[in-house]
Amino acid sequence: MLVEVLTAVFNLQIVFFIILGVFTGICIGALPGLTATMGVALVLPLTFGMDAIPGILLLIGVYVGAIYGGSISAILLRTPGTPAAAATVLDGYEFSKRGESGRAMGISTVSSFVGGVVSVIALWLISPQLAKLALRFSAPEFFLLAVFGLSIIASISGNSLAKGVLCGALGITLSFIGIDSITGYPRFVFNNINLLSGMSFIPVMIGLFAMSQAFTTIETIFTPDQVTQKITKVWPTKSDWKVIWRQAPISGVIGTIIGIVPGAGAEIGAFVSYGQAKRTSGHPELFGTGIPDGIAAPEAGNNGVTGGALIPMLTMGVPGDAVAAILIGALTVQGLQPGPLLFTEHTMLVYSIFLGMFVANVAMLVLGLSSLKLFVKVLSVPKAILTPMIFVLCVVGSYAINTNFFDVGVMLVFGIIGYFMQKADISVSPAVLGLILGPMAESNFRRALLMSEGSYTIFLSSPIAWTFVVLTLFTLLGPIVGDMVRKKRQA
Amino acid sequence: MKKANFIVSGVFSTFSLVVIFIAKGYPPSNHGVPGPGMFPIIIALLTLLSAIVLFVKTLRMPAASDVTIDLKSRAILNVYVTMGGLILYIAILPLIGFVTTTAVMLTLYIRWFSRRPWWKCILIALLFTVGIFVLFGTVLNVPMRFGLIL
Amino acid sequence: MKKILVALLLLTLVLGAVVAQGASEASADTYPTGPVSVIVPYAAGGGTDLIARALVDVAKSNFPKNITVENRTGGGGAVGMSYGANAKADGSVITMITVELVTLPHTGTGAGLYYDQFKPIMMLNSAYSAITVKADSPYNTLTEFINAAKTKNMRVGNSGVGAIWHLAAAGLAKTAGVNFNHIPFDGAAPAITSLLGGHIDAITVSYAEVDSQVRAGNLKVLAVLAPERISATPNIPTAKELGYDVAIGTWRGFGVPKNTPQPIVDKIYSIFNEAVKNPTFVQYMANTNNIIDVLDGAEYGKKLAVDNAMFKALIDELGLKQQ
Repeated sequence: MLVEVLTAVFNLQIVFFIILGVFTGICIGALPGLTATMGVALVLPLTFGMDAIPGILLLIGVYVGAIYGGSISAILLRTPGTPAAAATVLDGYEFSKRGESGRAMGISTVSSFVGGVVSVIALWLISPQLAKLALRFSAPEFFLLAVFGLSIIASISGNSLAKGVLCGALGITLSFIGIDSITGYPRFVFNNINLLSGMSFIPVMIGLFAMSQAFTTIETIFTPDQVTQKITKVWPTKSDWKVIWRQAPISGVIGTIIGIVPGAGAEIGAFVSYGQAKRTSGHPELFGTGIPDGIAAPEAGNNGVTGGALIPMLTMGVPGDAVAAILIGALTVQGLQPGPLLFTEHTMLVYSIFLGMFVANVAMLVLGLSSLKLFVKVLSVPKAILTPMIFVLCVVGSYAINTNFFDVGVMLVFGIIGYFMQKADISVSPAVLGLILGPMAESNFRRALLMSEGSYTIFLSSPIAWTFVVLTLFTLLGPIVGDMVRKKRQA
Repeated sequence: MKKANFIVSGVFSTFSLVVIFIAKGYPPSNHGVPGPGMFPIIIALLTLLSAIVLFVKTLRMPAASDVTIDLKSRAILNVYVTMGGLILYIAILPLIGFVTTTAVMLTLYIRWFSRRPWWKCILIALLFTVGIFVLFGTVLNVPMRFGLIL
Repeated sequence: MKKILVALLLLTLVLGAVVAQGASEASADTYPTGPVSVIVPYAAGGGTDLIARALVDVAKSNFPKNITVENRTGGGGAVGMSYGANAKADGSVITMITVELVTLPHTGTGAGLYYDQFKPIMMLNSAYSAITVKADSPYNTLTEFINAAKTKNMRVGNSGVGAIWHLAAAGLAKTAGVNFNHIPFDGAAPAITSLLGGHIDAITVSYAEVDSQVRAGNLKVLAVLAPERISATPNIPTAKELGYDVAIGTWRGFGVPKNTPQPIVDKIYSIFNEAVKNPTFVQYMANTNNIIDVLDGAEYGKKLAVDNAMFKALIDELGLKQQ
């Protein structure tokens, strides 16, 4: 078994695809406006013609690379390359102001590696156990898990909870389109054959994330790009190493846990890790002035999410974040259904994914430390040329999935909707949560009642179900209670 | 921001009412198992509630903290023109074919955005289009041959 | 400069139109005169797609102008099959037709699709429903299971409402005179998982889909709803032997638009009838638990008509017709 996995992963073709994926991912992540989700969505059609293992590992490479790559522009340009790097801007750019961008990127590279490796180890240790537990999950447990994931909307909607709920509800409503999975009744189809099997998830995602961002770029298309500075001394110093060893493993664990929660992605992982590092630090006032902790924590945190997000995805077919949702699509296209059966029937593939993901993290470390200058060059491709090319990639990407032009139209419509939502200060992330978790909640709710012949007690019939009820209440009421406590203290 | 919030609230309320109207006609619950209309109606009611909350909150928002959203400046008009161009592009794409339409679209956009000499724009556009065509059409077996020309 | 561009664009448009016109004059004995595409109405990488690709791969040499597989998904297969039915009737578009061709029109979600829009060429493969329970289930025969179902409301999982395995369970219940509590899942895998977890009593998906779990000793098959015992599993009885005369399963085959000239149909049949005997293809089908089951055009046509009538009656009775 071990030998089989080793030979499966360590052959030239697979390692090549992993490195290619990580390289592409870093470039995509480094370019502001190209997110990890978009990168994986755009590379996905390339894997249709490939075998399962190289295809999936190529995508995982892109994922790992892009989450890391976002820190490059965060440090150099004060613009996060992906939302996951938003927390890195706070301290990272201060390094660049001092002319130490090389040092900042060195810390970011090593911390991302540590965070990524922690998450891969967690993935390798936890998922086989969780896969066994997953057999105990029936319709009521899946329903409550989806509700728990949806409750995360409350914590990611930022300033306006109302807008977050609106956006999440929009995503859920979109998921109703098509043939109802319990009764077979066609809903919101308007006699359009293309809508019968529902909205295609990937074109909607490409539209909301990639296309809308490309439209936003058009606003500043005639402003020249920022000049980048020279990169020197990437290898971390002794004192930086100390900080990394102290901070990165903890942040990696935090990121992994956040990755496991359905729907919560790398951006949350980074911010929570940053907050934790600041809270437990002996000198919280120094955060934001350009200290190594301020880079090590969010970068290890966001790469920690990568492995974590795959845990529920592989074991239960429940996506940990938007990228994991696309990876489910990638597996399905290969004729593989994520879930506990994957671990018994395709054990080789599962362990190859674990090992391949570790290789991807090593590739990221090596590429990051050796070829940073190259990635900084990518930042100098003028957006005036890049943006029209992104248009083409969005169009071809959404067409290639079902070879249906209707999907291209869907993509463009959601690109335009996404653009105006950004204008109105509505984050599109809750829509993705709704789109992914909405159908899971609905069909399992109704399936559970079908199984129990109408009795609602089925929802509280197992300890797993109770656990999710408590977690959901905690997520929803936690912030409110926290607020009340704070107000009381002030009063 | 105030105006935008009112628009958002209005659009979503209308949307939720339409959803409720359609979903009301769906088959009813059966032996205690909710029918296809129940969830759409619940979610639409939630949408309506959030839209109303947003409306009320915006109404009570102090005018001082208001930021205007730019929807009409030159830069934004460029976005609208770009959107229009893309709608036209995907409308004629299936009719004429991938390579021709895409090369023309890319050339025009790159020329407009970068103001490079025409020959450079055409060269970049052609190289990229053919590259994508070969990558998806040949290497990845996505059927890319459609339309009158290529 | 702009004028030149516009002129160039127009010129290429006109030239392209002329070329496209001239290229497609097909005749019977010279078939195939141009590139041929095989439409698969399901996603790339799925069971139907992989069979189509494996078969096309071994038949490649007969199509000197190239043959490609195109996936046109949507509407549970209706999108791709409608596309294939309305393609040019010259053999340049061959469609992989599946059992959904005779079920979707009756559930009201076929979008105008009907089986007589196709001229069947040949059936390639079939798979019948296997009544499967957990290995530690108290029921060891189909008769025991059915008798128990007379007093207890059995929860029987399927791969989707109105999908073939739902109809198979319903067909069995109808023949045996019992009622099942049909639980639809999104595909066969979640249904199998749920059965393994003991949340439902039985599933009715194909034998190929439960094979690995049966071998691992986690599940057992009580009977198959096939007309005769399946050669790969000679120990499993058919429902018919046990006194329940019901045979429901899925099948896949090739069809072309109904106005396609007979000589072209015969030529395509002879090409693929050779291809299904190719050892590479036979090996592939064996490895993936698929059963090669060839019918010629005439017999296949009869099967289409029989199945169509059966599913129509079954779906009407189940009240699955929408709108």
